Amino acid sequence: MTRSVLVVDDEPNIVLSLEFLMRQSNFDVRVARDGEAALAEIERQRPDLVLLDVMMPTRDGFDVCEAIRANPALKDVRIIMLTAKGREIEREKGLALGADDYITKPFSTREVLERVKRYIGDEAGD
Amino acid sequence: MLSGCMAAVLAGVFGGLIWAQIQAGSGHLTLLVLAGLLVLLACLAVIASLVHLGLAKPVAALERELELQVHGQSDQPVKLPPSHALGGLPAAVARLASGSADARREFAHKTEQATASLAEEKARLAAILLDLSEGVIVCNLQHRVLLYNQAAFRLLGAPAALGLGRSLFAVFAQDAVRHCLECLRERDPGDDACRASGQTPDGVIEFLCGLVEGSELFKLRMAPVSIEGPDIIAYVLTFMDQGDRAEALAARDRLLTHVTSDWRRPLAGLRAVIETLRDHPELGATKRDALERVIAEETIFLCEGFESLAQGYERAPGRAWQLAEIHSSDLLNSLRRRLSCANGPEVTVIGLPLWFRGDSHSLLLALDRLLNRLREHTGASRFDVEPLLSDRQVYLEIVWSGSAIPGALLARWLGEPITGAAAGASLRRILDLHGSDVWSQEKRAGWAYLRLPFAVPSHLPVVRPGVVLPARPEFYDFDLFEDRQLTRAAADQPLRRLDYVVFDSETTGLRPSAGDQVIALAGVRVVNGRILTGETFNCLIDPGRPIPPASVRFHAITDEMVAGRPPFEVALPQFKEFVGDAILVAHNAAFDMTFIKRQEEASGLKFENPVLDTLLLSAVLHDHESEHGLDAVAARFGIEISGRHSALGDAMATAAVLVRMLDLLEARGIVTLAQAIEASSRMTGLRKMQARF
Repeated sequence: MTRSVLVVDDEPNIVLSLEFLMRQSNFDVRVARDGEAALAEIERQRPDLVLLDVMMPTRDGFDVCEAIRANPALKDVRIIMLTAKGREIEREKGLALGADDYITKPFSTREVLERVKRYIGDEAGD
Repeated sequence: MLSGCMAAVLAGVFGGLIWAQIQAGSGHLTLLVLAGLLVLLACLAVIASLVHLGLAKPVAALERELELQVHGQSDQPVKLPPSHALGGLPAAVARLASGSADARREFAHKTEQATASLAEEKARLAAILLDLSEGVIVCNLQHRVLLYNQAAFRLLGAPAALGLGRSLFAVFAQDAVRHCLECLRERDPGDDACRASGQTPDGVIEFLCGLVEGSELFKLRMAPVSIEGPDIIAYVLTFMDQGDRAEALAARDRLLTHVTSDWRRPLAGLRAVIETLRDHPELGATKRDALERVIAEETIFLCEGFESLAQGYERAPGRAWQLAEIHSSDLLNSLRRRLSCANGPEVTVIGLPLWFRGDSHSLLLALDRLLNRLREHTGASRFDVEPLLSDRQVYLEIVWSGSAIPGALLARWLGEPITGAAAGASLRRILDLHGSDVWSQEKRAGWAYLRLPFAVPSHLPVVRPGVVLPARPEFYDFDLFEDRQLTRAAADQPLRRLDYVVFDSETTGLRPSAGDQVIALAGVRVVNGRILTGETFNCLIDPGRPIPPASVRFHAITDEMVAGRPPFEVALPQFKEFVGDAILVAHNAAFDMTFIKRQEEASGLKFENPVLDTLLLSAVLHDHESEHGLDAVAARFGIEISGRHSALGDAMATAAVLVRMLDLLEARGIVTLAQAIEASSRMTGLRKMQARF
């Protein structure tokens, strides 16, 4: 079964790269540009993993993470937070709020891919 | 004199009358009477003049002289009248007067000397203060400036409001200063928290304070001044040049210089390469490849450089105010008091106290605000606050019955400004200053928490290493379990639900029968599996005998510290009141209970509470281990405690051990009090036998 990934980031370059990357690895990719859109997408169709940026306008990544975790139906959705703020506190807070992992920008795309595969496997064919 | 004249006049009158009678030839009797009267009058006249000359005149002279002497107008010795009938009186008066004159001279001399010496001291002090680059301001308890130095004046920007006798609060914002003074006055120099940290209990507090005018923050240090005895009569504020600002700017400068010099090359390279690739699509594969490799390498270089820049910036000195070390008990007890005075939410402090870095006053305000908002929003009025230790942080956790707070609401609370905070900061700014944040989650069914992380102090205060003190030998000459009132109801209660008072005592030595006495007694209440850090009993006790120097290295209590403290017969009833009906718990309880029993007999008190011994329980749980001293057991449970080897520190450690044991005991099938006592009783027998070998 093809695993699906939702990329949530307001930064177009990041979105471009990640979307391309995920597609290349045979994941089913969707994109959202802010927190509200992300939650709407998740509601429409449940992703297997969310790549979630923290710094976004209106609803930040922590908010979205909290909202996802507040919904028991979404408990199997994996969340990897992406953040431009490297502070320890951010990482702790994210993990405390229920994120599965945390990557600081600037990141290596190779690393992102590795982490994504770690959580939702490499089942999508090669 | 006057009477003499009168007598003479009367004599003359009578003389005239007599003469008239003689002339008139009246009877001899009348003549005789008149003559007699004349003689009498003459005598009176003589006596009067004698009195005048011998007494009245000298007395008047003496009085004049004395007046002169008393008013210091005559340095001459008293002039005595030449002839007088006053006996030794003038001489005595003369001696008195000269004595008084001497005393006056002496007094004047001494005053002169003292004034001179005082002036000298003052000049010396002024010279020292002048030399100091630190600002120093001394104030009395009404916050009026008693003394300040040039540096203070200069560092504060030469404020017109700073002056002798004027209020400090014309210059500095008052809340933080008042708060600190209160903290200083609350602190007991025998406080275990002080001793535990290894710091001298000199009670210096560091804090941040803003000015009345302007938004600058100063880092102040407040130290108490007491001359005789422990009462504070004044306080000294010292503060430094904000030179750390200069240092911070310099550090940031260096980072920037590094970036501007080191990053030009890779950026230039990248640009060149990328433009080439775009402008020349005809480039061959190998060339292309080479250029793309350049892009990859330089990008990685820039990313790594960026990381080190970000870290360098975080660590740059002065970026975050260097925070003082605070003890969670101090802060949380202040919070509790503050809230209860203002009819705010009820706070119970639980768990073992911890040291962390922070600014006491602003955290107090921040927590006050958070708790009030929590109460408004959740309707809960009782909150537990506990410090938690993790790898690199200390957390303050606030727990209440209810649901977690959504992030958006928390963010709103954080944005609100707080009156009284330095420079009108918001909750967000205060947390930023501490490198902290706050989040909320569910703790367990029906309970939620707020958690705030804080930095641990750079060097954790430790008991001086190198000397590992031997554990106190186990003591069994006391039956814990006879004579204890164990009602059916209490016996069947699950251990978790019971109230305990976990206590420890320090003594002059190990032999109660040989005259050793208790010198400290401390206890802490444990309710529902929570250690109520705010409810402790802590007392130094005068043993009525000298403390052997050999024992001082174990408990650090000296004869000076116990002098004047209540004796055991006064302290024990107070302890009994604190304990009430709770179950008594101690480590190797037989030891402590022996001393208590001896005092019971002397005072006619009787503790009927059931007693549990964590040493015996540890033996029950881990019978394969050989070490059951408190240090070993605490280590086994991963409990770290500051303030070991003080009665309160040991009581706290024992309480933490007890709480951890509850789960393990339950797993072993020991759920009720009766079961715990039974298991312990059996273990006592075993250990007594083992001890014999």
